[in-house]
Amino acid sequence: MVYWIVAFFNGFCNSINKMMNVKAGQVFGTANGALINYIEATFLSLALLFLTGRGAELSAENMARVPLWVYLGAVCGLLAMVLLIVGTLRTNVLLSSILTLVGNLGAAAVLDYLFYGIFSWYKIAGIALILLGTTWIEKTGQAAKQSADAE
Amino acid sequence: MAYFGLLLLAGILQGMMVSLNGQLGNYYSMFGICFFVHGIALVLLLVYLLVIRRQKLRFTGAPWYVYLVGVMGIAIVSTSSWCTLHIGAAAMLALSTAGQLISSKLVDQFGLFGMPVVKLRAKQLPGYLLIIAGVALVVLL
Repeated sequence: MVYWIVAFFNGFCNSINKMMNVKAGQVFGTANGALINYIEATFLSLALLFLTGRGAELSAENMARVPLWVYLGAVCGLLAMVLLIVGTLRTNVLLSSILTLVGNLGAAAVLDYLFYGIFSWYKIAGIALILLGTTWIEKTGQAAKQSADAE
Repeated sequence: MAYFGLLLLAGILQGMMVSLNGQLGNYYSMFGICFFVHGIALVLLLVYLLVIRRQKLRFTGAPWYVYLVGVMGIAIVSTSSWCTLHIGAAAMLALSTAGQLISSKLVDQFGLFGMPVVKLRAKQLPGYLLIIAGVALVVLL
């Protein structure tokens, strides 16, 4: 249950983070704005790592036992950010939200199966309902905005 | 059409990122994961900005809250990795998506962070109900 609450809270943080990143992008440019996030988070997490007495995790011996492909998450995140900016600028928000969510949840479902052996058709149906709900909200939101603009 | 593919690929990469960061949790603590996730991206971004674009970096002139973005980054990466390791990436992303949509609606509803007020319309309610039902299916079954 605690994982569900924390995962839900993660979504709240994501929304606020998006607004901060948009503002940073407006002031510094997209890449320079993102750089602030990475610099701060890198040094802050390094400090917290040592303050919590886990600095030994950074030993060469420990790092060497981790398969290299596991580190690729950061590269995926950075590439995703670039593609999102390029794609969103040339389509609309509705399409970009839906397509990203399809890829997002679809990839997660496939990787859950590969890493943890978790698969059920209920999950796939649930993902379809989430996509349908998101499409509904975005569409009705856009229609409301258009009618408000017309007034 | 090519841009649709790019957006789909962006989503797939995001899903992979969450899943792979969860795997890092098998080897590192939460702050260890945050260090590598942000540190690797920092090096790549610095190479892009300084070597490829030869851009001069700027760090001043933004509102104070923009400088809290790193703290938020740590909160996001550590919680997503921790949850993914325990409930899987699909459940984590389904709950996070619901959290994002609801918090975005709260921001719109009350005009938080200086955003324009956009009230919830009755027509939008079925969409939220579909998402709640979908999240319940992904998480519970």
